[in-house]
Amino acid sequence: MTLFDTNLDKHNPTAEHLWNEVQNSIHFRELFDAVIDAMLLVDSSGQIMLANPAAQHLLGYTHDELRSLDVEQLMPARFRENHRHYRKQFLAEPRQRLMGSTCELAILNRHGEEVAVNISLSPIAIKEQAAKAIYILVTFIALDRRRQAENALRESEERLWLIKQAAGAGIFDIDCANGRIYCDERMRELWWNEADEIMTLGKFFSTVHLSDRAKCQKLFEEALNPEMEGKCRTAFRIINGSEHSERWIATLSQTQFDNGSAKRIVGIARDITERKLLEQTLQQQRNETELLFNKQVAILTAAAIAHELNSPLTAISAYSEVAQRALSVTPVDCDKAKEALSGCFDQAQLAGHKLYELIGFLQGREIETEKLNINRIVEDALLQARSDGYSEFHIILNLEPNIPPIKANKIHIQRILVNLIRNAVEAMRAANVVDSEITIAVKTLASEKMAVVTIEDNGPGIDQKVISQIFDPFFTTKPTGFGMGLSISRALIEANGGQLWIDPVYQDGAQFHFTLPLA
Amino acid sequence: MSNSSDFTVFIIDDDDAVRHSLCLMIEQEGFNVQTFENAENFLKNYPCQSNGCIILDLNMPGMDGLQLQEALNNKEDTLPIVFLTGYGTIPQSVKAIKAGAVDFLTKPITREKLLTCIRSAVEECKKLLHADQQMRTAKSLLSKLTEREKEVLILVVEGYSNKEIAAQLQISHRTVEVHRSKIMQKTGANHLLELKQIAQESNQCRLSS
Repeated sequence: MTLFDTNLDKHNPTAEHLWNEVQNSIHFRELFDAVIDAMLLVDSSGQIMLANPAAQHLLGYTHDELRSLDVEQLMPARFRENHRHYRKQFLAEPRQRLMGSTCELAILNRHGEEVAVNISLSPIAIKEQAAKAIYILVTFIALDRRRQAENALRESEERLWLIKQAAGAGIFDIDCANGRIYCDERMRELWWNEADEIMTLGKFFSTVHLSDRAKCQKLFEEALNPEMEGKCRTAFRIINGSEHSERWIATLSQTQFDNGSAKRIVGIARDITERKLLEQTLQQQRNETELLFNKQVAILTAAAIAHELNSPLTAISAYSEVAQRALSVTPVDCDKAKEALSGCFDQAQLAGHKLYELIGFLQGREIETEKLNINRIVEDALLQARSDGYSEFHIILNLEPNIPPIKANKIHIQRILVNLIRNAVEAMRAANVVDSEITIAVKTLASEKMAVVTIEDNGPGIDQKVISQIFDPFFTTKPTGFGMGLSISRALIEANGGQLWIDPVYQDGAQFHFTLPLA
Repeated sequence: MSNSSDFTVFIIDDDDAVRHSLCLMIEQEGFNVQTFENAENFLKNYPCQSNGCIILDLNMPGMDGLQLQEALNNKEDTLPIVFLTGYGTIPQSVKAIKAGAVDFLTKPITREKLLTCIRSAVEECKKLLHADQQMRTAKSLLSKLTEREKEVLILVVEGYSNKEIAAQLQISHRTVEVHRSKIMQKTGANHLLELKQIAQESNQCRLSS
């Protein structure tokens, strides 16, 4: 191995001459060993002939050990087959090339660990006893994966930090095995925790507002269930007992499962108190606007009725007094009395007719009905009530599956349901009911071709003294109420061919029922 | 009733039955009644009569009660107005009263309230007639004065002394005294206060015009 030539195709005499000069001054082996990249000299069968110290260091083998190895033994199994194929191709047309320029290559070190590298191949022709043999110089350029990984990690941590700062989010990490919760600084701040305080699941649930606790515990159970996705997004209130303060928290978490059981739950928590307060204010404003609007509608309706009835009433009143006078004078003025009484009769008839016409106009003639799934309407009404700011109750739904369709006006029925739910929530709020609960049951009375919907709450119920008045227009027990809700609801249910009533003997709250005809 | 026989009540209301029933009721009290179904019709057809009153519906299609009141005020018509309304609002009634309405009644009305209003309208008319009479008397009294005497009267009523009047009109003090005594003689006024009242009744001293 005293001579080699990198230009096989053109046997350049000048280069050969030059090389002779070089090899006279520097021994090839010294040069080979001095290179800082790991290099192997491999013969055409793949046998390792030489390995420089950098290669010995990279691969963890001694020179002699490497010499006994085939180059393919350094390849991870998944590359071996392809490698043989490529080696044949390379030998058929040997030229300098870089392997793995498009994909990531790796070699195995002494411990069987993969080391990521780029590999370049250079064919070398060496004269051996007048015959020319081809050797391949393999150079490994090790990729500094660790530094790359560290950089990536640092960048991602910086990004995460920025996101956390911007969102004001705290991070928690629940160890499902022992119920401990690791909290970052912001998380402890959100929960009013001291720096050295150890957070546990028990403590966590004890801070959750009583009205939200059951919901949180249920979601936690679901997050632990390996059959679910493990993704959980929720919002709840937490209470600081010593400061009597309350905070709205939104969390987003993901459960990590290991062998079919939950290992840890990692997530972020954010303070959304301000947003919630804003939402509540907006909702309150919307409700007030609606109340004002309803009042205006009622006033205008009353004014329209008054306008229609006032003239006939004025005439009737005047005719009556005319008749009275005509009958009290001497001699009795019979003709005038008859004329006046006839006027009275006509005007009373006219008033009735006008009223009938007006009601017909206000009701907008026939109501439009369609086939409806009452279960779906109950669900929609619940959503509506919750988005209207009446959401703090626990709901129990006893729906009848495969219920036949009803025939009714969708908007009317939804409005009635929302109104009943709102009444229930307001009553429970006013009585400070902690574990407020609303049960809605739907069933069919096949014999009467009717569906029955029952709504009950666990509030204070309705005072027996006023129970007979609650469907009267303008009757209300609420300080800001207008007293039209139930009377309108009853009118609408009746217009849809059903009935609305309250169970007067129900003891555990208020219980309303309404029926609607099946289609 | 003899005192109301020459007094006419004009009823203006768009509702036939209201007009008819009120007409019967007011006729029972011995008043003359004329009914009109809208304000425009009334303006076109009502007789120029100062002894009467108007029962006026506030809310009518077309010209409403307040507009009619304004039109009558512009014509310097002095007929007292009693307003009737279905749903009387305070601003409307205030406006109507300020513009000279006698009263404001909410439908349905009672005979008693309506007659109280009509009676006060009758009184109002009497007062207006009396004032009108006085004005006419005063005017006829003053018409006897010469132009110079009228000039002196204006200054006397405004409170100038004889001396000041003499200086202003560039006549002698004595001549002013002669004019003054002639004025008192012609108007029959006994003293300065009576003279002032006559001048006022004859329409606020617009004598020179």
